Amino acid sequence: MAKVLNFPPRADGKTGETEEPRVGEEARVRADRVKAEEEILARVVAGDVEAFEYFVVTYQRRITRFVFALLRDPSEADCVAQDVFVKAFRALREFKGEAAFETWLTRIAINTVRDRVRRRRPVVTFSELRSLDDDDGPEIPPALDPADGTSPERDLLSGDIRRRIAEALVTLSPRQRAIFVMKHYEEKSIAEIGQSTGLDEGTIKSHLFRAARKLRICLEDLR
Amino acid sequence: MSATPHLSADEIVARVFPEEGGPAAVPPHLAGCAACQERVARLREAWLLDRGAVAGYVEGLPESFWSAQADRAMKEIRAGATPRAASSAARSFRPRLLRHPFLAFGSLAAALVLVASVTLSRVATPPPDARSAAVERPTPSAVDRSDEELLRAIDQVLDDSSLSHLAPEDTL
Repeated sequence: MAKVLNFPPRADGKTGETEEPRVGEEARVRADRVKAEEEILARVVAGDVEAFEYFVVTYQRRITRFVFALLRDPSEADCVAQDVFVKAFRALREFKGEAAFETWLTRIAINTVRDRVRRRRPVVTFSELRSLDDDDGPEIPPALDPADGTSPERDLLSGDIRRRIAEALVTLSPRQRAIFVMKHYEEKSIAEIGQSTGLDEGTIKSHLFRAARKLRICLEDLR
Repeated sequence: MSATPHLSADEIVARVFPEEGGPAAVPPHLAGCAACQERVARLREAWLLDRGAVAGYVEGLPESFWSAQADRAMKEIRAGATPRAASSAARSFRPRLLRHPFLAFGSLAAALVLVASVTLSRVATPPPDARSAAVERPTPSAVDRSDEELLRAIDQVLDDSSLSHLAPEDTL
């Protein structure tokens, strides 16, 4: 007899007890998951608060990774990821199912990060900019600075480029940053980014172009 | 060594961060220039390291971190769901009242009696104005009287014209 599962297979990249679906089965598995999630959503909307834990457990890794890529602060990413789920629960009645639940969550994450960045943005005087330039920068936590072990010089250089990438990301507007991270860190398509941000293809490409331009400026003297 | 100019920063960034549809066409210069190949490779390596480090850091977090995060989120969600719980309590309270009509009418009658007795007691007592008028003003004490005398004496000294010719230093 088949085991009756309360929750559908997780979508967090962790296979757990279930095997990784083959490419041909992927669409069917996804459709099954969407259907199962709709049922769980209906339960939550009907008042079963505990059923919402499925969404937290399923998507917390993805959301935390996305938020962390944007903020580069582990504890802040943890707080924001938590906020994302709380906000999603409170706004659950607004979810119409037009996009995947994960896409909707990503949109909430982008808005939450934007609010957080606006709130924490410090007022920097012009004279302080110089000292900020000299700073090694807190963007990359020490735990995130692994050496590839090829050679100390190469590690140094890679570290320098990585620091510059992180600095360039910080100079982007929250929206540009989100789009850049979705494209180049999360490997989302333009269409998926459009669903998450509500922007059209032209605007997204424009943001990507501007983000790359800023990146270019930060890496201009690289030889 | 290639005769064409080295790749610009824009071209290098475009190689590593292409728009949708795969990487941009390889510039002819890149095929023959080891220096530009090195620059592209370094940027790509750094970006991949950064991306891998971000993903690796999050994936490397212990299970206790995830369960703690989920617990905190659910705790806040449950706390936010209190209004729903309150409304269900109100729903369950209404049928209980209907199941015990004597209790409901008894409570109503007791409340009416209480309101009537409070109203009657207010009518029986004199109005606040009359009560305040009946209160006598306090008579000045001996201390008050001596203070008034002292103030009057100071005024007299200040009014005394015989001191007006003195400079401020002298008065001090």
